[in-house]
This record gives sequence, structure tokens and C-alpha cells, in this order.
Amino acid sequence: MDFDIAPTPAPAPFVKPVIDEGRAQQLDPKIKRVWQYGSLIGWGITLLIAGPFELLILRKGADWNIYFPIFTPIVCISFALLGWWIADKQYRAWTYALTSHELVLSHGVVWRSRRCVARGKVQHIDINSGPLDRRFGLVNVSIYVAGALGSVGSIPGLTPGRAEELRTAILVGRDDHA
Amino acid sequence: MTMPERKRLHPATILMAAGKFGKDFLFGIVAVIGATMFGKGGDRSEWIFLVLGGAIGVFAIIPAIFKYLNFTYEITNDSLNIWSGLFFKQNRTIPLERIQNVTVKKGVIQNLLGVCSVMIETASGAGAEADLSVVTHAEADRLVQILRRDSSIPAEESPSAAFTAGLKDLIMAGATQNKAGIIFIFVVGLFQYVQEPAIDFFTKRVLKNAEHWVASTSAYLIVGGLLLFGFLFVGWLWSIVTTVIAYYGFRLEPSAGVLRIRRGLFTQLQTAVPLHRIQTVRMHEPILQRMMGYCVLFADSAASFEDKQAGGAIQLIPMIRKSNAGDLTSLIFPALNLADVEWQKVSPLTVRRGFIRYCFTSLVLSGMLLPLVHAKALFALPPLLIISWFAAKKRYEVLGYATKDGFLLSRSGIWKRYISALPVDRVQWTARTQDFFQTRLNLANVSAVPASSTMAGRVEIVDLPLEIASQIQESLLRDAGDAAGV
Repeated sequence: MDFDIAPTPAPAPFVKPVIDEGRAQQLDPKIKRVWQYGSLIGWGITLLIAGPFELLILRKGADWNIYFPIFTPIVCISFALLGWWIADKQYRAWTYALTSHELVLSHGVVWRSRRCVARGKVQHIDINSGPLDRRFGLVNVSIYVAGALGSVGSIPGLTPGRAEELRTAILVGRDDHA
Repeated sequence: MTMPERKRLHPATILMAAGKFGKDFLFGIVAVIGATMFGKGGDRSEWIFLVLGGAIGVFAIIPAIFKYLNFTYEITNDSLNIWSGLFFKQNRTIPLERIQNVTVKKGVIQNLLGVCSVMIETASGAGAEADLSVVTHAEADRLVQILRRDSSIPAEESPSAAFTAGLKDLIMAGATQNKAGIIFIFVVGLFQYVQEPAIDFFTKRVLKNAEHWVASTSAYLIVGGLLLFGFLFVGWLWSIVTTVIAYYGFRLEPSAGVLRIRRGLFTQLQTAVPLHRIQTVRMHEPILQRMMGYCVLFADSAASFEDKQAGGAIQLIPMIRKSNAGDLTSLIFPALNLADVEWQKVSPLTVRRGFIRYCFTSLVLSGMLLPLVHAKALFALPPLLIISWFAAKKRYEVLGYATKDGFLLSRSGIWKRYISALPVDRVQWTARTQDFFQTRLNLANVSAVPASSTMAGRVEIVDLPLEIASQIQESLLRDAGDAAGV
């Protein structure tokens, strides 16, 4: 029995993805939710662990008529609400841009940071995601250069497709600059 | 072709692990015994702590036994292979040509047992890729011979001009520094075990005796002053002793593109650092050394075992005449010339920022005196504020940066002067940061980071006008080029 096997098509020529080179890009808006829920969960866990400590340890020396261990709940709830409120400002402050020579990461509300990584120096790029990121369909892109312990910068709040485009653009573009 | 032989570590590995645990635990044992003998009878909870610690110690030796049983290695024609792990098995292959540095470390106990550690580094920044602790001296010599022969470390040539440090130099180097801070931490750590007897002794004996001679307030000040002097004196002695022990027999030889360093009285260290791996050179001038025209030189590389050294860098030499420092730095970076540098100033607003910071510190210091001398602590404020102003002015005068001959240079430090030099082509990434107050004053800090595994390797310039900070950041990466940088 013969089968007509269609000839394997020639591979499509590789087209370098365009990442709007030079223009500052914003993160996906869903990252605000990730940060907000992250803040609630993080401080909630801290309250669950530290709260009983305050009850048990401080209770030893405290006069219950004067002092009731509410310090930990107040601190944890305050920081959780602060994290919720500041997420929007963080989102507006976070941008990244890929220029002809470098990747520029700008972020920070109170402490502002603008980090530039030469494209030719990038050794490898990781794409990772935590459970909250996955819940909202987002990933983080981490950039690694030679000799450094850990990544030199991490771009949160990207969709998987966008992250792949960025990774390809940087690594392919890196060869052009090598 | 002979088959490569798969080998185990020396059985003394288990003993060394037990010894390390005991050494870490020794402080607690001594403290509890001291508290029991000199205190009001040891608290039972402290003895329970000791017993628990002993039990933990027994369990700590079990991993060492497993390590000995499950760790093997072999050297083939082109790679070093290591198998380790019981539950999480690992097989690591290190190509011999990737090996950048092989260090042999011999401690006192190790020497007595006839063993030593061999640590192998590559260009990765995560510390030792392979740590063969412990093997016999003969095995270490064999490993070093094979690994250095086939690695990227060139063979040792006949010795050329070497830098050495004799006993007199080491005593001078130790005497011009002071490790009182370490003594302070040790005493604070011990204090929690001997709190009550220490306070009793201090208030009922020392102060009472002092008050026979002088008024109560002066007694506090005199006793406080003597205690401070005691800390500084003991710290000074400790600095001399530790420097002599760490650098006895110091010898630094450049040889075929590698710096070979040998040092140590009890723990002998031999290391070879390829020059091309060095990212930053730093010159430290403690105040006493600066007054005598001496300095200390550090080099920061992409990976280093010496995490006990300042900032994780390699201390090239414990002390050297500043006029001779150029001979050593020119071995590493021939184009670097630290003489005749035209330092550019940072923003004058740094005086105000520095003054506010030092005022805050002064307030905290005065506040710490309040429980002792009550309202009289406020008398300490005016002199502290005056000192803060002069310190802020001096800091502004010292702070500076320069770009010269393809290097980015920075200078800082009032008490201890720091000068860093980073070749621009080794810059991996840059950062421009602003805190809340800098944003309002239109100032920023700029950092240039090489292929270094430590924070110490970066060059930072603080309190620049924002526009200049941006220009420097852009020009650094433009000039850095796209080399791999390691």
C-alpha cells in the first residue's frame, strides 16, 4: 500500500521578534492583582506565625490590664493594606525597554532604580512563575550575566508569549552584538 | 590507556565534620560552664540546651558519614567527575579546561592528620564547584599537578619578582587596624549567659569603688572610658595576632598570567588566581596606615573562596607602601595608574545629607546615654553636632570619581579611605538609584557592576546630580562593549 506522503515543507525563515525596540513597555495590568494578593497572603502568614508568639512570649511579663497583644496584628494588617494600596503606583513606575545596546529596567516608588544590562553580556534568561503568577497567567523573566550570583534583574508581570518574545529578542540580538 | 580510578575522600572527613560542629558549639559550652561557675547556679534550661545540642551534634555527624560513603571522584583525560548525594544524587562533570583556580587549604588539625582540602573553581560565581575535603597530601599534590596542567591555569614558571611580608610588616599591618568590633560582638554574645553576675560585679564592686574617689557622674564616665579603652586595646592586640596568623610567610608571585599567593601560620593557603579573572582592584587606607604612607590592596574576581576576607575579595597584600602599590596594580592592569588622578566632585548637597545622617546618629548616641546620666546626656549633643558638620564636610571633600585610561575610579571614606578601579570593558551592568530624599533633591547614585560574585566588586558613586548620573550610566555601557567580561 502506498501512501502519498507530502514533502516536508521547508522551514520558515527565522524572523526576529520585534519588541518595539527603544520604547518603554509596561507590565501586564494583572500584575497589580498578583502584588496585592501576594501582600495579603504574605502578611497574613506572618500574622499567623508571629501573633501567637506575641501572645505566648510577651504574656509572661505583661500586665493584662494594661497591655493586650495587638501590636503584631496592627503591624501586619497595616503593611498588608499598604501593599495593596501601593500596587497601582508600583505598576505605573515599572517599565522595561530594549534598545540597540541594552535592556533597561526602571522601577520603584520610594526608592527608584534604573538598571541597564548590556545585551552582549547576557549569559542566559530564565522564565519562571509562582503560584500567584500562574493564577493570573503571568510569568517573570530573570536576566543572568557572567559571574553574578543570581539574576541581575527580573521583569515581573509578562504574559508567557511576551516573555518568550523578549527572551528571543535579547538572546538573538546578543549574538548580533557579540 | 589506563582507566581513570574512582576514589573516595579520606576517612578523616568524618572526624573533620565532627570537629567543625564541636568548634561551632564550643562557645555555648564555655558560656554555660562560665555562667554556672560564676553565676548563681546554672539555670536548668541551659543544661537542657547543652544536652540537646549534644544530641544534635550526634545527628550532625551522620551526614558526614553519608558524605564519606557516597562521595567519589575521578579524573579522566578531559574532565573531573564527582558523584555525591544519598537521596538527591548528583553527578557533576567539570571540563578540565574550565578550571580557573585550584586552592589547597591545610588547617592545623588537618596537618596533624596528614590531610588537606582541595577546592576547585571555575568562572561561575557560586563558590567552589568542587570541594574535596579531605584528601591526603600526596593525593592533593597529584590532583593539583593534573588539574593545573590541563586547566586554563598556566604552568608555574621560574619565580619572578615576588612581594613578601615579613613578621615586622605583619605586626605593623595588624597594629594599624583594630578589630574592637569583633571583641564587642563576642562580649555581647557572652553577656546573655553571664548577665546577672556581670551587672552585680559592675554596680556593686566597680562603681562603688570608683565612687569612693570621684563623684557619681564622673565615676560612670571614668569607668565607661576605661571600658572603651579596654575594648580598643584588646581589639588592637587581637588584630595583630590574627593578622600574623593569617599572613605568616606571605608570598605573592606573578607567574605566567597568574598570581600565586601563599600564606598562613596554622592554616596554610596556596592559591593561584588568573589575572584575567580579576574584575576590580581596590585600595584601602586605614587612617594609621594612611598617615604612614601605607595601604592594603584587594582584588575582586568572578569567584573566590575567601569569604572571610573583606567583602569577599582577595587580599593581595596585607600592607604595602603606597608608592609601591603601583608595581602590584600594574601587574593586574598594566594601564592603571592611580597617581595623578583628577577626581571629580559629587553634588555639594551631599554635605547637607551627610550632616542630617550624622545628626540622627548623634541623637541616637545621646539617647543611649539617657538611662545612665539622664538629662546630662543632652550636654553631649552640641559637640556631637559640631563633629557631624565637620564629618559631613570632610566626606564631601573625599567623595570623588574619575574616568581615566579606560577605568572607572571612585573614592570615599573619612576614617578609612577606599579607592576602587574597574576597567570599563568589564562592566556587566549599571544601576542608577534614588532614595526618597534624593528624588526631591534631583540626585542619584550610579553603580557599575563587573562579573563579580560579591557586592564589594562594584564601583558606586553617590549623590551625583541626576543629569550627570544618567550621562555616566549611558556612557559606561556604550564604552563597555559587548565582551563577555570574565
